[in-house]
Amino acid sequence: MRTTSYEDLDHLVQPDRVHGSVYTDPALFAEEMHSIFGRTWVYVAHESEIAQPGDYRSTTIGRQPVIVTRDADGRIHVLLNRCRHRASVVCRERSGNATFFRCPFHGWTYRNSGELLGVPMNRRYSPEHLDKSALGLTPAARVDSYRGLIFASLNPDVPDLAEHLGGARHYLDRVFLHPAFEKTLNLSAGRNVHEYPANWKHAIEGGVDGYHAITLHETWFKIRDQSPDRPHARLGSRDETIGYSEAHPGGHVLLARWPSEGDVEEFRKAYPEYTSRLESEHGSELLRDFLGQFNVLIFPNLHITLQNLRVITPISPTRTQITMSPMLIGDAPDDLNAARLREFEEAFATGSFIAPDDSEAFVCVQEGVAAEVDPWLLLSRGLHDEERLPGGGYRGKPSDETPQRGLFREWKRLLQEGRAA
Amino acid sequence: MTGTTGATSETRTLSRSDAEDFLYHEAELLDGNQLDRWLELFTDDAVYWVPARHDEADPQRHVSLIYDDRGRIEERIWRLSVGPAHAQIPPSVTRRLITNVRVSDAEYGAVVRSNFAIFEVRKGTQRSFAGEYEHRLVPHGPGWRIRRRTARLVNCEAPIVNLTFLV
Repeated sequence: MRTTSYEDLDHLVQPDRVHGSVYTDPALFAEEMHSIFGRTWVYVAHESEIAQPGDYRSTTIGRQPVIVTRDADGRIHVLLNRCRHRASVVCRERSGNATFFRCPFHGWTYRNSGELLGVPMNRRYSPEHLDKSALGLTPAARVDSYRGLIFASLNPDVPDLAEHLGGARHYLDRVFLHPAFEKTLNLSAGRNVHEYPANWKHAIEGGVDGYHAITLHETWFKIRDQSPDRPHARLGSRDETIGYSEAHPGGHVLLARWPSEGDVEEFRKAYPEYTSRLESEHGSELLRDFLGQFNVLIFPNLHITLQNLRVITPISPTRTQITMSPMLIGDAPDDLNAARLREFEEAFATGSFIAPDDSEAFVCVQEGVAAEVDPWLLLSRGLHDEERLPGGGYRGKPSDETPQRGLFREWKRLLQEGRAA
Repeated sequence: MTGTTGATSETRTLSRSDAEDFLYHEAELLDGNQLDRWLELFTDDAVYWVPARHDEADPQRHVSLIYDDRGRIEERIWRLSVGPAHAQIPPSVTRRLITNVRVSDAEYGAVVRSNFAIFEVRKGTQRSFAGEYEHRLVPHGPGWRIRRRTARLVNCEAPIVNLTFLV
């Protein structure tokens, strides 16, 4: 017997708590795929991954396979990876360079911009059944890029991407996609792909959770304090005064912490030429931002944290993949980029000291929500003391649950919108 | 704790049977959770590497699953033995098979390549990991020390759940 009705979203998501069934209910998962991943902007790839004409990269929008391509004229396309004949995927590689995609099943062949070019033995189709101009690979309804980040939407009725990114743009512009790095940031270092047996929302909540680190990642803080001279990921101190958390309309949420002047000075000493060039070209605030801890979640699936890019991919209500890639800076010194790799491997790799413990916590929550007698998860931390931002956002202390509340407000809004549509 | 390299300019050859004994001993320490003794097998300048890609992996340009210098190996052992390393509570139980051992001489000692299969059980779920080890060994006293230990997993590019036990 159900103890609650999933029909009632206002019951499941309340200002200070959420119901555990949002992590377990297969019907809600199906709704998420339809109303969230099927109806809002979803991050699909970084432009550096398809830099040359013909480059492609296969990925998913929610559970739906797509190919992100760059055609001969340099235009970017996001195409459903499904033959218009009998639905086989036409691209089976993760990435590559191709002018055409040929379906492995019956050989229907498409240009990398989507047009259907050829159908084997086509004389057994009447002309009315084979209008090639209407049988290209289905394009995503909307495709746009923001400073190298490619987004697509399966819903034509979304606001423009820049408007959708709204208040989060400030942080993308200022920290990750600052003009100093925008053109040279790349994902050429590769990736680690994590999988964990729990719901996808644990990952988007956890990545902007400023409350857990001192407990869950206690060992990392000890290691950092014991060996300050070794390369460490740049997790900010637990001081509540050095930053804040924010939730913006659209479900984009973040955690921001700035470094001490000592940290900045140390970095200047380690990379004197590079930092003096950055500062003379872009001003002295840049390094402070560059060395800060910024965790920005672009709802629903892109997470940029400490200059690493993470994509969260739901597999099922209880299975999730996270693809994590360090972002290298093309014109930075080699030793700076190598140090970034070592920092990533310490914190975010599948064999690292932080990310696997995060996944373990997500699994622990998934196991815990099976205890349904009290079905609620509390998200009330700092609720009494939130600052309202111009533009409709909220700001709290770094350890407040402001970001988690913001995620669930948008989650509920999109599910309600999907039901009404 | 620190070990000593004891690396000398002396050149010695390593027989396959001695290489097998070395690998079996190492496997016994890992599967038996004798991590301080495992650490003693490494030189001070040792690297423990698990690449994240099959081809042309270059740890200075490509991110790895694990790329530990000696200091980080020690931190890893401290986390596993003192912790709390939450992804290892409760800890993985492992047993590994090592086979197809091949030895070649190198300027500084010997390169030993072998195939491995690791069976791992944690929280009631058994998983298997397979791949190739490459041990770059240098002479140390009457024995050998590991200067570079590479574990090339066949699933290094696939999604991985919790790689916090020692591969």
